Amino acid sequence: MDKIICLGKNYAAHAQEMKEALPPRPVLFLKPPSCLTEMKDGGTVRLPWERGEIHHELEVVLKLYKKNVIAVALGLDLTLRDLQKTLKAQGHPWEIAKCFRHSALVTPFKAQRDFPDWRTAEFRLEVNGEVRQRASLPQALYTADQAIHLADEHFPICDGDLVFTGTPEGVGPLRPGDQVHLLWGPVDVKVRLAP
Amino acid sequence: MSERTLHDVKGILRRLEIMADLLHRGDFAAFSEEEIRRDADADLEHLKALLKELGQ
Repeated sequence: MDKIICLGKNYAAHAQEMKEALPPRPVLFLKPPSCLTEMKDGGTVRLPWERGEIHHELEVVLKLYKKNVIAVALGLDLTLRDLQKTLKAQGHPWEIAKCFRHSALVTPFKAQRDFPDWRTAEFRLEVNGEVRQRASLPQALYTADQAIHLADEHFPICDGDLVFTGTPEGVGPLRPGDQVHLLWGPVDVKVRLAP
Repeated sequence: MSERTLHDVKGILRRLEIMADLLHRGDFAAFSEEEIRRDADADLEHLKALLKELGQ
């Protein structure tokens, strides 16, 4: 994989909860492959708690080949929210709030034939048993195909690249010791966040 | 070997890995087996040509 392409503000309700204006098109940013970690069901992930509040952003993730979707997964685009807010207020780029080890967590990928209704199925995130985020792709402003097209307009897309398609409303803080549970059709992965 | 050539080699290896995975799983939802095998053959030829450039 060459890069992880991420869409921001692809769900109107999320832009509203962030008290930010909805741009005419979703915003784009990149994460390097070194941020990526595939979650193992029952596994543990250690996050940099010392760097400030870390927010979960649940997203559908697409794996591309020849600019087509060949597999899908759920992902957590983790964000150092305090740092991001500070950088935004100062008018600075906010990559360092998005790029840290394990900041792009993904479930194992599912082939389309093993999950034929992925374009409409509801996905959700539970933290310690409480539903935090719940949505489906038709609620997004840009469909999966439109997201790929948008990314292709701005970046040289390479085979194997991943696209994080944006987060719906309900983003919020994670704490050491939390159990996060990602569910979407055949995707069912629980991980513990190490203290 | 230029950085560009190295980048191209890595790109082909990534593509071959994806194609091998699709063939292994019999996943022809997005691309037919024929198309995948044709792409793999073309990539292997391209890879041979790039590797010949090494050390020359």
